Amino acid sequence: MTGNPLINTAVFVAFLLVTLFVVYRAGNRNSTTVDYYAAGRGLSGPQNGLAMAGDYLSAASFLGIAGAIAINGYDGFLYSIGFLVAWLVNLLLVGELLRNTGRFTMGDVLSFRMRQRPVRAAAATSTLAISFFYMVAQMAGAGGLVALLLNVHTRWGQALVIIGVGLVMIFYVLVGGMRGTTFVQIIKAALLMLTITLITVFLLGKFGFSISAIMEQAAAHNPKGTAILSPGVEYGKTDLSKLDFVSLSLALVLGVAGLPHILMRFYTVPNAREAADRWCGRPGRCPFSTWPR
Amino acid sequence: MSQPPYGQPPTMPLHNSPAGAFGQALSEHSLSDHHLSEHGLSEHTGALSGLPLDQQPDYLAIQASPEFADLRRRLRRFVFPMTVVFLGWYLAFVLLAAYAHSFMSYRLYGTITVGLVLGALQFVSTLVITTWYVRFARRRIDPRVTEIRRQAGLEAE
Repeated sequence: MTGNPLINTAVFVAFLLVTLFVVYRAGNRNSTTVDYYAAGRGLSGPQNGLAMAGDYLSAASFLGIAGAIAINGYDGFLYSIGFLVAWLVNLLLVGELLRNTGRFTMGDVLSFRMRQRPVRAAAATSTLAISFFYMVAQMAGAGGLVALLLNVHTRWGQALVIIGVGLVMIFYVLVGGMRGTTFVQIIKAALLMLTITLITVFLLGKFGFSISAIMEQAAAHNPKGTAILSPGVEYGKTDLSKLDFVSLSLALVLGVAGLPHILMRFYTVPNAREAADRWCGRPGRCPFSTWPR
Repeated sequence: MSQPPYGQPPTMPLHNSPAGAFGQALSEHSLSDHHLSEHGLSEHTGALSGLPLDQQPDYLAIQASPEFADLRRRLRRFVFPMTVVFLGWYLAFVLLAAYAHSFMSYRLYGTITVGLVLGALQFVSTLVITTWYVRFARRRIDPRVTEIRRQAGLEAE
């Protein structure tokens, strides 16, 4: 483990304090239910677009996909394509229509013209179930990362770290509401995109701006060798695993569109145009928040 | 006026209500094809758009209007074929990756494989479709939305 844990802790705490301050300030402006749950519907397209990018750049994509590519090569890359195309599902099929109902939650919108209680119960159950599984993965990733930073290796230590991270997150949301967490996501998205760009440029530079060179090096250091450059390392072993992969891809492209934390971002803009604007503020690696629409 | 069963109606600044009202009409139509009146709409919408009941736009009239039907048809004529195209392209890519390993491993240049190029093309196509949709919505959908809103007696935004 390289790096001084004391410095790591200091930087980590500094980040926490800065973002907590931002959240607190944003939270102070919350005075109505609409403010708390939908940021008063006053967020501009580009702001929400950046926040959406922050949502998308979750621990799953940032740590998980990076890790999957590092270990399995091409099969990890395949995973990320699913997330990408799911974006379009939300844009074309959901965005223009979902927004503008004056509601806060997916349950509200779904129960719009139907019997309230059964639909709300179903929406709530699905949200809780999805959020639970999502959270477990995110928390494990975040906790593992923080434990690495702080040089904590015992199981109890790591458990404590994960609990601590969870408590801090709860605190963020309680204090800031939608507006506060949106600003945190904006900061996160900006920082992540900046660092990713820098890392990419420096790495490419180190290998003479040759993608082939990087991949050859990666294959040389991987126990599976150059097999990782082709599909099949993880998902190609048996016919069943291939089918499993197709099923996984379908789940990714259709399911990501239904994630509650993605859907709820639609309620924070004043109209459908901003919703589509905001959705387009996200695509790919560049923030297209100045999209001319 | 009945209280909504789920508690306080949201307080929205007035300039947001036209957007909310129209959007309601739009989303009504997309959620199902039932007529609005069958579900005791007045009970819901009174609270939902933040406007008092007597100021609500006539959703039934909007839904029945030819302009709204035209708007809806235009949106669907773009969205549905495009969805078929991008889902088809994605599925083709997935099936190739799952079952055509040797094809995907073919090296085009250095270690750049066909698989890598196809994956990159998925990124490109996503970007292209997004641009196309934004341009389409701006040119064809937004003006009609504004017009319908204006006809319904709400301010154009």
